[in-house]
Amino acid sequence: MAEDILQILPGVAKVRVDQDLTGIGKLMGQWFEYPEIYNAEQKEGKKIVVVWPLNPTEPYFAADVNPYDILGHEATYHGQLEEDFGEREGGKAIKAGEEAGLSVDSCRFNCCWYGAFMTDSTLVKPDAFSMFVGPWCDNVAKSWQLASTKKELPLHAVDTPVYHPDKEDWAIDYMVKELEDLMEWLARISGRETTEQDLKEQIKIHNECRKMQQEITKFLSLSKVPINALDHHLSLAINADWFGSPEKALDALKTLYDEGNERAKKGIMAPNISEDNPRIFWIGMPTTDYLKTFSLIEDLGGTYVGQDVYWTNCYDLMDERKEPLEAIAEWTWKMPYNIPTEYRMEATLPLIKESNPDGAIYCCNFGCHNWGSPALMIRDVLKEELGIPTLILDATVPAEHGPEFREKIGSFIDMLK
Amino acid sequence: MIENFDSLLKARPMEISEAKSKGIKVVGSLCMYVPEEIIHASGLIPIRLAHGGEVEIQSAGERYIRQYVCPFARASIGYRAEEANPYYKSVDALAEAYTCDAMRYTLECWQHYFKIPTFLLGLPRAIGGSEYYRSQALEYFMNEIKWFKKELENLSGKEISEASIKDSIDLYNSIRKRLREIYDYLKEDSSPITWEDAFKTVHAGFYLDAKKYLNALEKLCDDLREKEGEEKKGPRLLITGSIMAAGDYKIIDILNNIGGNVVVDNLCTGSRYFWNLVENSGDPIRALADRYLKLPACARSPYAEKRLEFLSDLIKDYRVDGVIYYTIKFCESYGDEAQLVRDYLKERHGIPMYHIDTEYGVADVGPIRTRLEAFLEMLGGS
Repeated sequence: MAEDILQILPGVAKVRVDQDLTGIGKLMGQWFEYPEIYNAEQKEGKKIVVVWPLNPTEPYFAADVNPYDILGHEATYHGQLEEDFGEREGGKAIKAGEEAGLSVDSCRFNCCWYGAFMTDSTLVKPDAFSMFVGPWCDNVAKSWQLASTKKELPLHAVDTPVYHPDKEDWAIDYMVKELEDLMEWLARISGRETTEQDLKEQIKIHNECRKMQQEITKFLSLSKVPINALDHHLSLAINADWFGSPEKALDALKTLYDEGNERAKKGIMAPNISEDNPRIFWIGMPTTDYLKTFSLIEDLGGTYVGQDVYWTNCYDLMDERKEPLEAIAEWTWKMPYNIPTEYRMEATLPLIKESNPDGAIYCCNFGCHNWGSPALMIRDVLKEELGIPTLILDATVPAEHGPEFREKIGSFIDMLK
Repeated sequence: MIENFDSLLKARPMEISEAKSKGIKVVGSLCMYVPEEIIHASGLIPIRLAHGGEVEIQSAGERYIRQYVCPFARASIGYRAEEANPYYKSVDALAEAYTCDAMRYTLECWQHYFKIPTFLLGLPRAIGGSEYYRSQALEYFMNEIKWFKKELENLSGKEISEASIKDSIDLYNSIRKRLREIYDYLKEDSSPITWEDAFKTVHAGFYLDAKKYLNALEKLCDDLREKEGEEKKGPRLLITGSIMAAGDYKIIDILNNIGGNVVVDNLCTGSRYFWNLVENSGDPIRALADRYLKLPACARSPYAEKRLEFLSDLIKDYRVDGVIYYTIKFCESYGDEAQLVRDYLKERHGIPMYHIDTEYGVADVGPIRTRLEAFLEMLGGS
């Protein structure tokens, strides 16, 4: 199937991955194949549950349902691989999203999956929606409410309490109870009770995957960076649902790590970048053509050295010594992407510093409050704390922001040189 | 009819200034979910910062936050940045319950750029479903209120007693009862007060001393009992949607000019702010948590059942013929729900809805006026 998709979808040819890396080949194959596997398993009775991009997926795999990151996967598939951005570009997904009720001000990435879903064009047909609401993205929460209401599918919201160091006792306690409710709901969906052992096993393998992601990320702090921007991004972007299988994901990540390590030992850089390039750290969110934007940084003479986006939730591992639900609650509550900007910057600044960037690109979608709101504050903090400049990009759809992105990123990199 | 409130409001900045000179601090809050009873019980001055409608102020906020965040958030930052409003200028600490991303970052901006201490209360989001809330949500929110109480004690240097909280609950309950009484008149064909005056009376309470405000409300209620109502013609309208800030009266002005007859609102700066009371028996923290979790829910919540139920009750009780759904640009919590509400109103009540999505400023007054005129004509009221 992977080869078929490469031939059929117009956007794929423009997505440039390092074809010398077997690990990336495995990840791409898994990415393209898992919806088909989900569909086949659904026919055998296994349920597909849509998961929130920041959900920990341990509860879902443990409950024997197939978790599906509908936002990340369908928006990427329809927006980028099918190039189905909207009427202006000959597609239909975004327009369909607006017609089905999403505000014209809602971010285009979110509107893209929603439009595909409401026109029955998604790669899989989910059985239920599950989301961890709280400190992340009002817009996605509303789109899931609308989608589940209009298609009459069950919706369960887990409340993620706001992070504050003084509130740990009651916040974790609250979230554990919310997770207990989730497990009961999942049992009703799947028809199967989850044991503590099921959860522990999932935490263990998820942690293995996260460790690998952390190790791969360390390559980016080297002066001779051995993997490209998009390849690193793909190695992180799998963790919203592990493309249907943490086991397969772990295998692909291990392969990628071995290959990166081999290059690092030999001082081999990834293709298309040089040691003299300004080092660029990426912050923000996926846009309707973010896959190409990662390559664009390199085309314009920059070297990508890391990212802080909602897929970088591998910063921390879950505590395997704790009760599983407590470990999940704690991990979710403290996840940098879920916490107020002040604490978030405390958590992420050391990681950004480690990759020794010369500048940062902060990208947000027009209409996104979650990223649009703190953009200027984070720019100021990066200047004050790390002394680096930040380029802020506001994304819409590629026909509108594409030429502007090219000009702005090009000028920014020239300035850093 | 509401002139008394105007004169009280004129005197209020000076009163606050005098209190501050005696060391009494002012605690601002941005939305209806912050339990103001606790601030009042602490001896600090509670003020709800719900002003808006001014383009220049909104633009000033854009120095700190992107322009595609809602105008209310931009203005809430702009007022402080420009020191353009005495209430915003007087604030010593800012509290907010986590309602939406825009409000959270407004709080963060105040802390980061203006060095104002802030208190962010965690507010359960999965509320407003077929049951108001899950049992753990009550316990969680109680802990958040206790934390808030402790922070206020640190700010004021005084302990907040249970008795003082109960007293404050009684005071605010009395205020809410009077406001309900005023809104009850709007059910009548010949109401002695217009919805606009009733709505603005609610806004006065955001700034005034609670006891003085209650006295003024009692006087107003006495006057209303004596006053003959005047029949207002035209289809009976309800306004619902995003926050309509004090001062953001563009739509009200347009409706006045074209003879629109608004009889009730479903807004967080109107009916939803005061609708339910605190059951003031037993543990006051529990009672407060219960009341605030049962407020007619904001669209931040992914469950709409209770929200729609409340809207339905208003439509029945106030005999509403048509609904105006008001959203400020980039308020997706409400913007995304517009179609859902439109379908609900049509199926459940057979009444139409008109959606206005606008920024602060007068640029779109003409088109909005034309469309509202058409809406009223369609309802048969022109």
